[in-house]
Amino acid sequence: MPIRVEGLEKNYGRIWALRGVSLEVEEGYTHALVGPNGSGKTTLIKTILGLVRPTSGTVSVDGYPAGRREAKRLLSYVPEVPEVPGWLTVERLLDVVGRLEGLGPAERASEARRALELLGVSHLRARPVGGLSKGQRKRVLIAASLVGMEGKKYFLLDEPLTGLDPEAVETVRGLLAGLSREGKTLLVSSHILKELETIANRLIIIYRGILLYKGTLEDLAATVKAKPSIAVRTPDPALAARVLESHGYKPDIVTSAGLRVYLDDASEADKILDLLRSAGVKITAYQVTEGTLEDAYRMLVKRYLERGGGSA
Amino acid sequence: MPSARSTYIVAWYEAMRGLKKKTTILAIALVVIPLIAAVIARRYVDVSAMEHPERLWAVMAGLDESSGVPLALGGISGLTIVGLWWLIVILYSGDLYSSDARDGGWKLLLSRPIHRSDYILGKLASLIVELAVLAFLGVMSIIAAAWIIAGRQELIGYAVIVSLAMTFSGLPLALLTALIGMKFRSPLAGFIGGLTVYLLASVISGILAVYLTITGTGGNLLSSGYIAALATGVNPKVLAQAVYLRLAYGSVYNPFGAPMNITAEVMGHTITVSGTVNVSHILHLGLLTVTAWTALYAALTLLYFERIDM
Repeated sequence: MPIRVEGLEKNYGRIWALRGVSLEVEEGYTHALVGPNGSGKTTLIKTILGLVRPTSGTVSVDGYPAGRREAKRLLSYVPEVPEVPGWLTVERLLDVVGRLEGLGPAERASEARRALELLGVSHLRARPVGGLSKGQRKRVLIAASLVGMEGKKYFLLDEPLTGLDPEAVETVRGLLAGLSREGKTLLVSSHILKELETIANRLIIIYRGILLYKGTLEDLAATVKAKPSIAVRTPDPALAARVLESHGYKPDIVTSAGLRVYLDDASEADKILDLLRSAGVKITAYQVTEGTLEDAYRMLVKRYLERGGGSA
Repeated sequence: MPSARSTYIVAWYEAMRGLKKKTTILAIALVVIPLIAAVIARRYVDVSAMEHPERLWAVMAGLDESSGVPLALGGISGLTIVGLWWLIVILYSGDLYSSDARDGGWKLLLSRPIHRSDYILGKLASLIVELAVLAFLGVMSIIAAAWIIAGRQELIGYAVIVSLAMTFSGLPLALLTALIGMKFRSPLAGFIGGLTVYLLASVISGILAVYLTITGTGGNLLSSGYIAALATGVNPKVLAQAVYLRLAYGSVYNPFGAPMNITAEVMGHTITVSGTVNVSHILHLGLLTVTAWTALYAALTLLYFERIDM
């Protein structure tokens, strides 16, 4: 029996964080929960934990209603914002978690030691959490989520890679892969799909509280058919955008450094470059890429918006 | 159903946090300051003028009355945990739940296998123990200060039960303060809310006392004062006084030593001004009202906490 979410709605005053979300978190898979900031990812995770009460709909964990002790016993959680009571030392924090998870003194000590070593923060054990950097606190919280993990079935990680240095990102990626190999079920949120592409085998896309997609990553790429694109660097992106628009192209992303245009076919790239050069646009660099999963995700959101989604 | 084990862990967590609080430093200072003040004051106080120097601790604690006690000793009383009990109660309860809302404590504790009611009851249990320890230290500090000034003290065996009564009668104010802090997720809002409630209740109980006296409902002026203070539920010391008086004087207490009955006409009402208090009556009413207010605020806290998002 997986984590089951049915008709979940949550509003904060006039703002709807989740609108009619129904999904299952399948056992044994790593789920990437993706959506832009404010799309409802954190609300969904907190609702599964029972920290947020649904406005309507139901959430159950292995048949237990969300928030019940029996449900929480199966869940491990890493919050997005690494807020921890600053008066606790790292060691004491993990001890508190171990007690709450029902571990004995010896188990608490050994699990805490192992978790801190895994995250490379053993040297911080005697430090008060309040004196740690944001990245260090995040690593400590990830370590805390591993205390009592034997009895855990589901790991809910809310933006676990945010705020970490590249070395720590690799450590955490390795850790998530290890958990996945052990048969644990992971629900990992991020607003950047690319971060999770290599570790997830299931994808959930939420946009403005609506569930846009749930399935495998391969199916998304196949059904949405992400288009290739050309990224052009130029000192005058505004001029480049005007030139392309006058020829019927729609530059998707225009920044102060350049622009990106999605193409029906990669061979169109040469035509784009010719058009820009003939109009006197200076091109300092360009790159043609095949459609990525990130592009497929963007296309999905774009299609949803073009259908008038999210206007309610 | 709450789990005893989870409740205990939350209580233990809160006790650890309590030891790190700045308020604890203030409380320790309030234990030491009266002793230093007493050492200084002893040479200036004329003990022979006191009617009952052996009960000076109770007078300084605001539990008893006695003639001949210099008003200046009130200054020392005001700098004790007992004298500032209302403030201690507010300071210790304002951040009971709200600090966890602010610093991630809710997410840390409540994402683990515990129920929300375990959290509330664990915190409450810890608060009761903390207040009981503080009340006892406060009473002991006053007893020591009085002993330094006036020598051997009597009735000190009542210290424990007076401390427990102080703790119990502080609970309505403590729970209301904690609830306000939780509602606004701010310890400061809790402190300000608790202080406001305490001051407003003091004014209301003053007005109520006059009303009860005028209508004759309260019996007499002194009794009306006690009844009014209990009715508002936020006077954190009145029950402790009732307990002390019952132990020290039995059912009836007359602070003036002799029966006094003055009847007067005020604004068309007949008022009886009497110094006699039926202590048993006040004590029973106190136990009833404090229990009722505590149960009400505890229930409101549990109900409210069940509904909120973290």
